[in-house]
Amino acid sequence: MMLLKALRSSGASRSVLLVRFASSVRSAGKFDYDLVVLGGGSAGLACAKEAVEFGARVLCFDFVKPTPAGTKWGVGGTCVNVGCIPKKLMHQASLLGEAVHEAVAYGWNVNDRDIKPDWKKLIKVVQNHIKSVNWVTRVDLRDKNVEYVNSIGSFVDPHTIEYKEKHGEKKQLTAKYVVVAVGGRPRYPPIKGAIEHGITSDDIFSYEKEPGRTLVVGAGYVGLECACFLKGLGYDPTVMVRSIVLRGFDRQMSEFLAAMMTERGITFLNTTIPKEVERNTDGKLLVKYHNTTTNTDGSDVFDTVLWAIGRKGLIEDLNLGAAGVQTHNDKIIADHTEATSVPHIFAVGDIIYGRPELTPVAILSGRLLARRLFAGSTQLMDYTDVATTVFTPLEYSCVGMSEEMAIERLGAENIEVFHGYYKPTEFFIPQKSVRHCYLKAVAEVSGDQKILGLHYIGPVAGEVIQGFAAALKSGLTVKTLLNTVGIHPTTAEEFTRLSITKRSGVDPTPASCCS
Amino acid sequence: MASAAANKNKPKKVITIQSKDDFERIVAEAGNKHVLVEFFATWCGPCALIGPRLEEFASEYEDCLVIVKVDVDDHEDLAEEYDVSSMPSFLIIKNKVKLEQFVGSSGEKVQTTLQKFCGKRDDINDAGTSSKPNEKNKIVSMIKAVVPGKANTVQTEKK
Repeated sequence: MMLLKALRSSGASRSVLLVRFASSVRSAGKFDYDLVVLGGGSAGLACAKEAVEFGARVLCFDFVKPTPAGTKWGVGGTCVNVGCIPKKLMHQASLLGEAVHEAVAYGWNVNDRDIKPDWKKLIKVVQNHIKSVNWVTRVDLRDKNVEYVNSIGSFVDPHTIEYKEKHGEKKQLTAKYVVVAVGGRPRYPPIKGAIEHGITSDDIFSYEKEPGRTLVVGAGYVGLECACFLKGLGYDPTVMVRSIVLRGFDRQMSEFLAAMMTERGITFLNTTIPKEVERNTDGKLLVKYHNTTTNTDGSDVFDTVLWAIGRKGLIEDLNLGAAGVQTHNDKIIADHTEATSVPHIFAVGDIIYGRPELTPVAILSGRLLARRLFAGSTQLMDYTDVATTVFTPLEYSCVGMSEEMAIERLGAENIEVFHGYYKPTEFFIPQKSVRHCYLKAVAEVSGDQKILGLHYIGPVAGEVIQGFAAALKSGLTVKTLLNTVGIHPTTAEEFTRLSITKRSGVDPTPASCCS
Repeated sequence: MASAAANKNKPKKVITIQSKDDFERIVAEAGNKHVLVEFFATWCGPCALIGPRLEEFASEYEDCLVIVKVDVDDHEDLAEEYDVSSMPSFLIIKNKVKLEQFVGSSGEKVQTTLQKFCGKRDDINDAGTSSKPNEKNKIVSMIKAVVPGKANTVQTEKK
């Protein structure tokens, strides 16, 4: 009778209700559930909660295997527990530390000498927030009549899932549709001491001791963001880069970001790979590494080693072979409808091979899938032009194509890149560096000049780019952009003032703020 | 977790329940006393604020009331049974029947509710002893409210 309650609360019309009830009863007769979701993260929860709106009988599995260091967390997935949310809070904490110094310049009577964060207090309040989100997630599932089981579900056959109850008893259930949304976890390098002595982003947000001098291995956005908030909180991070920073992102902007971090005192060990980690008698970690350019070995001592070398998909516990689902490396192959090689089994979120690993992508694709399965919708997920942000202290946000992708796809002669440095008004008084405050628009060269990509480094980059992502999706052109009146004084308005092209060779540094 | 600093050496009166059986036993053994149940979470800021006051109330209303705390993370089944979605949530149970349920860490609201069921405690004159003239006036004013037209008649009779 949970189904009836779900149907009534979905607000559908009476005749539609009867049709859906009937079809659900039919499938409910043959299968225990209309939909079983493996994974209670951004993708899984969005899909499950949307499906019940249309009368589906849904069960969601979620389980967190503890990290080697023993860390575990509640329902909600990576974003809520060990990703976006705590990351943003740590980022904010580090920015506030900076703000205290700026406040002095603005006349505030604060003693900004030797200010230190209380790491334990920061961790406590961050974790308290996460736990409150876990709670709200649980209540939401309960209110929406999504059955929740805190266990790993694995395939017995294409329609049957097996799981263990709390006391070890094995149980099975059947599902008409299965959505695999188990996401991923951080990788460990295959070197001596990696697992015993290193931690990952899974651990850092609840780390009970102060990180101290930290080696961050990896220069993707996870590594860079962690290094930056650690720096902002007063610790001494070093970033070890195997080849390039921010693989997959616009090269020029990525190098600018690295330069910004260097200017702030973050050490980079470029073209270097770790070889071994061992613990000294004083408890500190000795890391041996190799520079692949100079072909020399080196070593250094750190308090903490944080691996941020990429994430692997969690296919290992699913027994996908029993269902016949095809995989690529550690990810599941899914088509443009999120269907796997088995027609009634779908994959959503980070577990899919070759899609952006972002919460909003997971959520929207999960919802659209549920609508296609249970509400007769035909709308597919659009994975193109997805905006994203790297939350370093000067943030980098972008939507659309990188400059090199535009050149590759259209040819250099067919694109125009408008660019400029800018000086945020608020930076003058505290004399904050504006060296890396820069933005560019990559556009077609002809006609109204359709914009292919927008890139921005500066404060609150995510807030700046979000609206432009909608504009780009609507077919924004340079003509429209330059005829949009800016809001003053903001940094976002700089997009409406872009007039210098790379092709012209003119110096894109502004003289003053308003001319 | 929540301790009234002034009463550090006194045994804690607020009981943190250990299991659903524990909860049911306390409710059953409360007899004629009311049970004030607080659903809390260790990560809930407002819960930490009201915590010390509960210990005070437990002493103040000891004759009328038993106070218990339920950690929603440890006892999801109880939280679900009482449809608790935000914390702190309070219940008043008497003779195994839920009389009231409300949300929020307002000490005033908790106090008002306790006064409603247990009578006022902060005015010394009214506390404990029932002075007959006061009671009579109370009854009279209640009758007045219920049957306004007959108020004069009633009062004359009472006199």
